[in-house]
Amino acid sequence: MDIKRHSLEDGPGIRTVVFFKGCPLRCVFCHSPETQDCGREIAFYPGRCIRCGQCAAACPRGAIELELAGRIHRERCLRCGACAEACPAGGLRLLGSSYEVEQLAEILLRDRAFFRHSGGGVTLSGGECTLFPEYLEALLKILRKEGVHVVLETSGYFDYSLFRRKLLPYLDLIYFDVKIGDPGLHRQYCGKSNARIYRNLKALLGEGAAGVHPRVPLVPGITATPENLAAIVDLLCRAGAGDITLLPYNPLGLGMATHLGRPKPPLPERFMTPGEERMIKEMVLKIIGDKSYGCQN
Amino acid sequence: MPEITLGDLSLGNCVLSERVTHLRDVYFESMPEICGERPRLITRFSKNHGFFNGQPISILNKAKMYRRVLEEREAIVSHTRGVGRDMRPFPFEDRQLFAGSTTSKLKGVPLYPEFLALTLWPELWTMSRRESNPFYITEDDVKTLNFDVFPHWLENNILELGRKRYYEQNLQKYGRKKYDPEIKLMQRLVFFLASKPECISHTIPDFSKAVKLGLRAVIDEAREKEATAPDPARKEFYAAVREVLEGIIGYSRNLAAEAERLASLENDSGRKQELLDIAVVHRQVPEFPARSFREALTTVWICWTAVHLENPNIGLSLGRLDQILYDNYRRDIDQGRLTVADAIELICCLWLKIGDHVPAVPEASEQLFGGTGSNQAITLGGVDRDGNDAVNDLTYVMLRATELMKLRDPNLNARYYSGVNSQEYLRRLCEVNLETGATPALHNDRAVIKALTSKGETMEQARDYGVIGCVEPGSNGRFYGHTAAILLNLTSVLELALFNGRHRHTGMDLLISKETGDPRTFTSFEQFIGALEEQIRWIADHSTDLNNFFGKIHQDFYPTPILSSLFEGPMEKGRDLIDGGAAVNSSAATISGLADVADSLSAIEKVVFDDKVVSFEELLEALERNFEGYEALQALLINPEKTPKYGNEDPKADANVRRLVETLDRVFGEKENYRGGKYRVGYWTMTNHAGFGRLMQAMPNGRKARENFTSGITPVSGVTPSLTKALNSVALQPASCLASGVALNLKYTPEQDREKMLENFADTVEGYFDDDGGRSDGGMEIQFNIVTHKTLVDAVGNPDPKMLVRVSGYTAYFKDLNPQMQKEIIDRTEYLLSTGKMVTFEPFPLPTKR
Repeated sequence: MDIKRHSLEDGPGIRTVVFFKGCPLRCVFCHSPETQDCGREIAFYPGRCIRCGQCAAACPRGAIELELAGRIHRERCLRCGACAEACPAGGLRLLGSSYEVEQLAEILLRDRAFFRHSGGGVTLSGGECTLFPEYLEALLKILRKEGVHVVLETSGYFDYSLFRRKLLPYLDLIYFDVKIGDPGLHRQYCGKSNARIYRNLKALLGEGAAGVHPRVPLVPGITATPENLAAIVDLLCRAGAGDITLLPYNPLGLGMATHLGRPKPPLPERFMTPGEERMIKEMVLKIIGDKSYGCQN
Repeated sequence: MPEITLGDLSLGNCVLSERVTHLRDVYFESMPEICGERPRLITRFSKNHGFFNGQPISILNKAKMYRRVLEEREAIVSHTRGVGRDMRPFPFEDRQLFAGSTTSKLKGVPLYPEFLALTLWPELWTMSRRESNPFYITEDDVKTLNFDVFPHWLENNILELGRKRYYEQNLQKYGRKKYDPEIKLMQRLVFFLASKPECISHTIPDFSKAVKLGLRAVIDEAREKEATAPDPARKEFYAAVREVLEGIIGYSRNLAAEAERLASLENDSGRKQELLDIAVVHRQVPEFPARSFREALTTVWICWTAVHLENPNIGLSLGRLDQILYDNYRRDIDQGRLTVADAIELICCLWLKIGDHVPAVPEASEQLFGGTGSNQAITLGGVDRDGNDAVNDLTYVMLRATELMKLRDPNLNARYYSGVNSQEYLRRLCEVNLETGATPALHNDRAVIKALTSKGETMEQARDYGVIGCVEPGSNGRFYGHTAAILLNLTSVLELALFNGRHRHTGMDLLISKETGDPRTFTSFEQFIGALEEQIRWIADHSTDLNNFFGKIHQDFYPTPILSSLFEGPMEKGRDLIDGGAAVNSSAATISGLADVADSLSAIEKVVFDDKVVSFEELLEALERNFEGYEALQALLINPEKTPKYGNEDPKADANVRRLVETLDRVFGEKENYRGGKYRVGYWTMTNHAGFGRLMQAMPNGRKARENFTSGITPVSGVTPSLTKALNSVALQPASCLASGVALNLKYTPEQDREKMLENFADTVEGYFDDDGGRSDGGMEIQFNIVTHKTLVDAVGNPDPKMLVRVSGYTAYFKDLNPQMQKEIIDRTEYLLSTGKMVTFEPFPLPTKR
């Protein structure tokens, strides 16, 4: 997992965000591709490489070639991390640290003064953090005891009864991603059907659980199309959702695919303009207006 | 607790008046000009009264001299000319609301030949053409200094008087071979500077009596005390107080007479009335109690010029003006005699007056001190002596004036007590930082008060602290603490431990300190730490000895009756400040290179002893070669993911910092000074960390030769990727070890969503100041530059003369800084507040050697 401190984008106030590694979905537009696989991964940052060659010497598989653009013959790589260990400059880095629950809690509590003054807290994100219910439950109990506000970000693809029993009692807010309305397209772009996601959302809302916020990541040409937005609004209506948050597209995850030696996804390399954001928002408002459905953004 | 009656705390409707706009433009256009008046008058009196006979100078004789100078110096109500950037004089119409001046020039360089003014002697003819920060000088002043002034001081300045006595003493003690260890050590430049040969200054006078009672009442008090004083020394002290206060009153009367004279010649009826108003003010104050806000400001101002007549313009500070002047402000506002706009205009005029002088920096000192103003700190807000909220309307008025003026001097410092001061106030402090990009510095009352009480100040004294010079806290008007007594380059102490008492800058065949062992033979990190601590003790012994020695020279040759008459303690004790008259006494060392040394320790611990990546021998070899051929090792040493660095919550790295600050506080804290006080330690480095950097070779933390060291208590630039981690690491350092103040320097990227940025800004300061339920003391101080990397880089080639930056801790104009210091600010860690992440950029190229 990875920890991001002083985040202002993942819930109210100043927050520490934990990105768990591992996700049941494989969205082609994934914003943090390093969190899909639950194993360790090696990333290569050519700008930091000083070409000392210590990585090649350390690799037990001969998978490193200094002249190779991506540096690593990934098909041979065991992800043992010997190269990253040997690299002095941070050109090769091992992604994915593991922490004992108490150890992680201690780190998360370091910023409690910042949480308190800003109304912030901890955000559990991913990947799909609900893949680790036992671990999360233990962590959440500590955070609850310390009075820390907790947000959970999810793809919605989880085992409902486990979620309800182990996690739900400890959460202040749930940011619930709804990416694609049509089940077939969802399977095409995300690797799995959205049936379970829909059921989970509906069930969660049916519990009367406070603070469930459906969010739609806007990806030009994929999720941010009139058809998909209409399908999502329809889905949310059926699930009984009361609001919707649109997340404007950002291209910051694109670089990571390259660092991991994966093909770059065919997505725009620029942020959405405020004009584009406004247009999409109006579009959604219009769809909602037609359906007389409450909306927030 | 004062009630806040302002509707809009930002006072956005108040803008610069026409008068102030004009004066401010002239201020920025004009170059500093050497003033020959003080040296001429002082020299004449000293000569006539036999001050040059090598015998101690009595306080009464000094007082008589100052009185004469105050009465004889030119009483300037309005200046008539300045000197432009082209080094040509230009005429202008001066419609200042305050009369009087620190020197006889619009922007003057006062000279103190008793101290180091002689260092300017070789450049009298060239200083107006020198590349960095030139000074204008008239031919008459060159001649006066060259023939009438400097020759008399050659043997009689404080450094020379000290050197002579020192040689005599040590020659008898040690013989010819080793007769000057400390002075020679200082002259090697890389170890420490003892600043007594230049000044003591660095303190805050007590203006409250002068404002509330008037100086006549203080004279009467001195006369009564003189009559009943039990011994001649005290009688003489009180007589001296009377002399100098009469002198200050005399100067103010001369200003009144001059204003009346000018009024009689004035045709413009508006200006005529202004001059008559000035005359009325100066007939009243500072002799008698101030009846209005304007008179109160005038009292402060006139006393301020007098304090500078006696004490060099380095770090003298004005203290808690929003407290001292509040009653007069409130009364005038309540009685409808003053509007907020008038008050802002008056404050702006005073701010310009306060900046009417700059220190005399010789070309040779530009590397260490280039671009400095006089560092006249003003302190706003915080709590009062009883712990109540002290923020008042005048606090906001002064903040607005500062925001509008964006001046280097005065150096604004704001106190904040979380939970007592309002959040709106903190938000406003952050807003002024966004607007000015550099000021005010923010001080955490809770931590500072804890630090001061740990050194023996009473709770009331500690709560009433003001900020001195850069960032140093001291009880307002009662703390005499020469906070800059010793400027210590800690990286040189590390060097001594690395090379067994030797230093690469002074040559490996010269034993500088003592042999603490060859680290190549060390078998544990503890052994190295032991050697370092021994070297720290050695340097503390020698630097405090030298400071104490020069303290005694001050006691014999530089009594300070003016400052002593405006202070809490001397009047009660009948004793000069230099003899321990103040209510609170101390001296202090300020440390350069804390983070660099701490990170070097962590590097040695990890790479040599824990992981055994290289031997100590190989490490020293790499340092010797400035990492040439050792690129992979250097990459490892500078990589925070591989080698622990202070500022990342790494327990070992932070523990090494803590160990250093605790050791330094303990070692210096045991030392007694010459005034019956103890030594304290601070971490604020002005521009020294850049200057010292130029002289030093490669370091174990991966820093290459001649690169900058890190400012103040700040973690090393570029190795702390996360904002809250960096803040938490700094806040972990115990306040009681940082009693002489710290400067934490960060840059924030300006953001488009100003409202959101402001909120984050304030929340982040709160988080850093928080003591986390007693788990830490909370960070003591923080100061900012809010500017993009690109703006700074662009400013190197194409400087905006008004661009204000925060150095460590004072504010300066970026263009005045030397290239090495400009690079330091450009390279400083910059965070984007909305992500809490460090902004990455390539280090700026090292300036080539001149």
